[in-house]
Amino acid sequence: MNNAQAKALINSADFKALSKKRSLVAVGLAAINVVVYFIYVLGMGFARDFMAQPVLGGPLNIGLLATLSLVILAPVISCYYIWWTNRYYDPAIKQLLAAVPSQAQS
Amino acid sequence: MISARWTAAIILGCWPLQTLLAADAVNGSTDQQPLNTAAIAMFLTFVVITLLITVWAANRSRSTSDLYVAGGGISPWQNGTAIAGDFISAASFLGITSALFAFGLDGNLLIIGVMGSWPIILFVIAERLRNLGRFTLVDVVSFRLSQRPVRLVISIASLTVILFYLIGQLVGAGKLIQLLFGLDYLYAVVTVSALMIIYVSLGGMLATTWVQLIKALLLIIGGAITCVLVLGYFDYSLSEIFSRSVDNHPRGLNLLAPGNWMTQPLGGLSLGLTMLFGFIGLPHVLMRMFTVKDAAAARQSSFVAICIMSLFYLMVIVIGFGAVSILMENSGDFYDAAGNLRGGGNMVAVHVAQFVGGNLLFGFMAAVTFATILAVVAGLTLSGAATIAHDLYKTFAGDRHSEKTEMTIMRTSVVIIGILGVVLGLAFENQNIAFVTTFALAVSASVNAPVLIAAMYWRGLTTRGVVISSIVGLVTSVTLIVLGPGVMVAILGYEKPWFPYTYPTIATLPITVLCIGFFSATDRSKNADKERAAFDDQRIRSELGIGIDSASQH
Repeated sequence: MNNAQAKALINSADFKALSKKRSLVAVGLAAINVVVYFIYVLGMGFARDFMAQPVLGGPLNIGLLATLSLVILAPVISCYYIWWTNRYYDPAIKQLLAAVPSQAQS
Repeated sequence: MISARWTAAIILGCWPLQTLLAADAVNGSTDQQPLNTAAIAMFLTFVVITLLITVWAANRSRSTSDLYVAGGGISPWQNGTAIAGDFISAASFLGITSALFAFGLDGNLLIIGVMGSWPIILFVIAERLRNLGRFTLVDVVSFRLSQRPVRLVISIASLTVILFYLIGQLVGAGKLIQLLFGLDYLYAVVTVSALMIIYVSLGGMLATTWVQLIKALLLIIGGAITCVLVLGYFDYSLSEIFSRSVDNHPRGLNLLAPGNWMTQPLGGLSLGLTMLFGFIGLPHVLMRMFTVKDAAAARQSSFVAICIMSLFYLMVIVIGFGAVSILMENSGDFYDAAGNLRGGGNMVAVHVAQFVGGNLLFGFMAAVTFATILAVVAGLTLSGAATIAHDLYKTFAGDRHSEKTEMTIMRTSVVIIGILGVVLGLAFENQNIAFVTTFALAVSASVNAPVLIAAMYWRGLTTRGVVISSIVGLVTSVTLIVLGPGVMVAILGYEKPWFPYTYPTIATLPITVLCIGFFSATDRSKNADKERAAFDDQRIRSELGIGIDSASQH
């Protein structure tokens, strides 16, 4: 693919739609992650009584539960992202690239 | 008795935590241990195996690409494990278990910092980074900007991060090895440096990756065995661990409440920012993204790393809280005559390993700790040498550049960094080095991370914006750390610091971001217009990954 073709592809409606979807997923997941992270960090600083509240009759409390959840959340949302890119994004981009008439690689 | 132990744990446990990354073991009692033969035998086995790997890798390191990124031929599984290995270091295992032991819930902040930053790297950094760069993060930042000024400032920032991180590791290494092996500080530092020079200069990234990979697997195995044995001590009941830790710890129920370590709420927020962005901008970790064949492989590497780290930190939580009861219920010889934890506040995990697994597990964990430091130091040195040879020499040599000279310069840089490490390691031996690693992470968070993200995502970024904001970020980071409690109070002996927080990122990151925005947006030069226009071409590369191997732009 030469540069002109690549430019045409990147400005095509199909690619733009796909790119938008990808940003939505990636930036969306990143935003969820950042928000949860700062809720945790700010909670540890400013909502100490809340974090210390016992759960299930103690000694487990909200702070500990939040910690464990966040350590588990990271692989879970990452897994979703990997699944989405493998299942949808990669095949779609491959299809778009294949539709471009082949030439000598630039 | 308990209150003496408690005080000791707090005093000794306190400062290593602030450093977070380094394996900095100890201040206070570093009384040398008797020669630990089991540990030494296991460590020597590790050295022999890794040296054999280095010989094998040396035969495959024929080009700059082989040396820097193993020719892009590492598999995502190997790479992900090696990345995880950079994080689950001696610091994680020893530092965080000790933090949990001394401060309870607050110690978890260190874990959440890593687990919070890695998904971001996966979602927004890894793939674009792999598509845009060849060897270093400087490649990516300078992709559409003026090569020389941008490479110069970002190289300086990267080298600062690497060098300070390295000092922290080496000083910590010296003391840890002294403790665990009964080896003299000087010999310990020289051994680490010498082995690292051999691995990196001969075997390049291939050897460095394998060393990190093997160490990561050993640490996971050692951690898992310790974790299971600790669980066994509590009849495999998680709630038993927590309730008995509350019963035994002098803090009582307060152990599981926030505020024991990060007493100032905003200080905690600054730590949070430092970790989130600091881990994103680490040059030696980002460099690993270039060792795999394409963006999809970089993505898979990150995922593998995240899964391994998640598992490992869950084990660390069990070991850390389990340690409270184990070390306080049993009158083993964990404490010296004064009631201090033997060997210093960072030895919690090691004592636990010895209690639940005897001398064999203790020796194994000691050997793995040594290997850990070696592996992390090798990765750091490799990325430092790549920055010097690829980002500085190659850019500034112009026509005089040749691949052969570049490889010689890279190898020479490794030796120089190794020797410099020994010299600085000796110079800092008796210093409180907490601020050293704070500084590395703060620069990474305040310069590398925001500039990298802007370079990949913001069309408006210009050379002027990068150059000014990087210098401002570096200078403000130095200034605020010196004026903060880490230097002004801990080292210079003032009563009150001028800047209240150990971590400066709460101030420095917004300043850098503002500078990036302001000085780019007001840049009316012709060059700036070209740079903004070049964003379209950059998008072709970053989103389609076209020409990632052939088209290096410089």
